Amino acid sequence: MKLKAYVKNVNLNKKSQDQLPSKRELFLKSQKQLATWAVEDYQKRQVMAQMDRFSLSLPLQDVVDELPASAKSYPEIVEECRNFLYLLSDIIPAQKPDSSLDNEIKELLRDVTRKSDSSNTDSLFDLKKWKFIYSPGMIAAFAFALALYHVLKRLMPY
Amino acid sequence: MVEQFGPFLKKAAQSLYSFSFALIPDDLQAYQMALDSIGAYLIELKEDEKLADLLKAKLTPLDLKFHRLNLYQKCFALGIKRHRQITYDSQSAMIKEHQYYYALEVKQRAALFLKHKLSFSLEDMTFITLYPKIELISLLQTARANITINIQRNEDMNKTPSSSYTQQDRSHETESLREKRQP
Repeated sequence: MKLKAYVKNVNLNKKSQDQLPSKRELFLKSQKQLATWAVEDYQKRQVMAQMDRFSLSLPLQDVVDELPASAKSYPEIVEECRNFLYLLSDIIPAQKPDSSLDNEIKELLRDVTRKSDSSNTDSLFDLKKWKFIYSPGMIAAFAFALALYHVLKRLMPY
Repeated sequence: MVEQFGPFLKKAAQSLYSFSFALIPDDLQAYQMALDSIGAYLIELKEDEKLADLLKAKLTPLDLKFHRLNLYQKCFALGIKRHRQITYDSQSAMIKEHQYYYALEVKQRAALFLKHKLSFSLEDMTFITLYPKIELISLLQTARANITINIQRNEDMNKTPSSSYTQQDRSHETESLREKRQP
């Protein structure tokens, strides 16, 4: 009896899982709402189509299918997206390269490498080089030597 | 001794300068920021004791991409910090020319520049900015929407009965822009 109820419950859960809309469906639904809201607004719709095509990598046709009938056709929206991209590339500034940066980089590299070379010559005083003293192997060896010393001291007191 | 890393850094510095300028529209500050981000990355490499090997090693395209992303990460972090501290001339010709872009927040500007000028993927952008993907999409969308709203507002303000700026005019304008681009 209990088993029957359990199986029924599992099946119910499975059914409700199947009925849940996928992320893609949810996204398309939200796009439809957005599109309805922005259908009269040329700029907003342009931006929205741009988002779908270039940011989320979702096929544009999927979004266009969800657009209300009064919206523009697929090629027109693609054209609008392209136009918007052209506009955007003009709106974003591109500063011309500065040739003096090359020399600065050269000097920066020389400085850093010189410092790293000098640190190599001072390697005796570099604490990082003495790290091995604290390694487990060294500690074990030291403990062994101490134990051996005590054993030998017992065996040979004089 | 320096085989590939040096020339790579020089090339990266130029595009970093451009990116810095997009964040802070001041020649000197952008120049300094590009240098500082490279310096910071070199010091970080040196501390990890990777620099000496890196200068001698032959780098694969994947290595170069990794270093490039790291440099942009440093530059972005510096740009966000310095943007709060630096005041710049808002009346300069460059800012006036790109008024819609510089009217945006610095994070939005960065997202737009990385996406549309440098053509980074969203995954690369998450590495550079350390923002989650969804936040980046939101930044891009808000930036694009703000630009279009500002353009629209400006057009509405300038609109006179004799010279109304219609959608058709806009498409002509973009047509002429495209023709200009084509060699």
